[in-house]
Amino acid sequence: MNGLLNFAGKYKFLSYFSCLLSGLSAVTAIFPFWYIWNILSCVIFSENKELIPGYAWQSVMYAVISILIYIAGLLCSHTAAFRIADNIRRKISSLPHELIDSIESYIAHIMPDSYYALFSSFGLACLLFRSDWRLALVSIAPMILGFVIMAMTARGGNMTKSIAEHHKALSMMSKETNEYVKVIITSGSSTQSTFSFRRFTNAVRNYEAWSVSYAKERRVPMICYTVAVNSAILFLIAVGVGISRSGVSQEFMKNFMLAVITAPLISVRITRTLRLREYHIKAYASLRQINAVLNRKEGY
Amino acid sequence: MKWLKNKFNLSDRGAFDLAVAGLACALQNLTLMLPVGLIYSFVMYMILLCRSGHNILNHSAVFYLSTGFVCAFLILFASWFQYGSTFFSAYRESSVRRLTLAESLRKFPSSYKHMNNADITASIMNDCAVLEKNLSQIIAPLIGSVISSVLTAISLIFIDWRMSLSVSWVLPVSFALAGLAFRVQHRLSYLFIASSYLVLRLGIISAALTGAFLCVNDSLSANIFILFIIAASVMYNPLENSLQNLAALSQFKALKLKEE
Repeated sequence: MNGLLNFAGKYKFLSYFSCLLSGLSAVTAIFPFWYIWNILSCVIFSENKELIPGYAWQSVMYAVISILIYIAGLLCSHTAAFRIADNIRRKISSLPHELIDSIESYIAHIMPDSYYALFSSFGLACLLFRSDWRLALVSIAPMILGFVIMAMTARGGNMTKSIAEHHKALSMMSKETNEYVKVIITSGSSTQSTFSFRRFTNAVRNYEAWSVSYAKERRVPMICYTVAVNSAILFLIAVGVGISRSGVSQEFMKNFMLAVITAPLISVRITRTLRLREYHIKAYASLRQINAVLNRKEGY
Repeated sequence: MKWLKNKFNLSDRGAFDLAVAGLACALQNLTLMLPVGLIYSFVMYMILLCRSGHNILNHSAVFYLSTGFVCAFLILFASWFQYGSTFFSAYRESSVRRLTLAESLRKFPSSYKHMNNADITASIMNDCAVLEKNLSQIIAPLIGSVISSVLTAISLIFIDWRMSLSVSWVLPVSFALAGLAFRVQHRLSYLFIASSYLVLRLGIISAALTGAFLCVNDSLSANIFILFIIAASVMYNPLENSLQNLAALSQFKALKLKEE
């Protein structure tokens, strides 16, 4: 990624700075949960009620600080991204808009977002581990279960076969589309035979059939994954039932409340981090293309 | 339906399918709120146990565990329906779009003959692939999350309007910012979309602030306060996810504008 950031020139530090600010914003965003947890503890056990307004204002203060830091990070990342995009356009004018836009979007938006999601989920998990390690483990267990489901179903020969079939169907459709358009452009639509249109239609229908059958194949694992990552609260209920068989202490009750308000967020943030991996891969692919063009230019 | 058809350039069947997919996503989001009700009831029960010093009763344990399983089953069912109505219809519509485009190409005037057929083909294939992905992964979940967020906010009004207001004020602000993102310059749109989901993070904070002051003044019970805090920790998640994905869509729209 360093190669991509080099296009920013003297604004390169802004990219690093935006990641740093995003991480800082994520850490600051954990404090409001700490204060909300304190408010809940005071409210549930009717103790230290005079402290509640102070906790409430402090939670607001940290939330606002976190948002301001994040916006500052976004401004830095956007400045660097626009500089990178402009410099790439200046150096290689023939690159497609889409490629440059995906890089711009990655640096401006995805990079700070992924650092935020990573630091946020890690920070919330640390907060939970600090309060009660059993509840912390239960809160991250749905995510682990989700990964196991995906890892078990997404590996092996079937997946490789599916990817190969996808490429085959896609290349067949591209070929037929190319052929179809070529006939129209070179000799006009009147000379087009019904066979070329039929071949094109069949290629499109085959691709649709393949896509639907692949989606059907992935339906059960995807649904199990969705249920797993969204069941943090259900896992907490199961553990709560188990632990409360030997009585519920005040300490455990407070920690349980913290787990209830943070566990769903941990799942969401970790899932977000994983989804953003797709953009990382795309950005690397774009960088490879840019490097290839630059190397070719230098060769000439 | 007509609006969807014109907005996303869909066929009649495609517009209907997208509406169904949006509703399916809303249903899935609403089922994801079911555990919130269950955990609220469980927390209340645990507070009682904590105060009385008793252990959990066997029939209560069975009730919470079995209701948890029912919730998981309902989420599974809603996810099954959502997956089917979102992905399968998007692929079908994509196929229809490819064939319609091919049909339109045949009617192009001869002045287009100078165009590079490889460029046209690549553009068609790429645009169709992007639209296919956007319909299934961004637009339908966004429609669903808007519907489910609004329904959740409305249902919370019946519990306590003051707390409901503190939780739901972020929704119209967020929608407005997301809407503005499509009306401003391409480079600014990122900032508007980012602001739209950052505002959502203030929802739980404003609920805590309002609830804290109402509790201190004894005009709100602890139970209701706990319910709203638990609800606020979950209710924005689908919308926040959808708005984050919308960033990709705004990038695509800007790209299309450039090409036009």
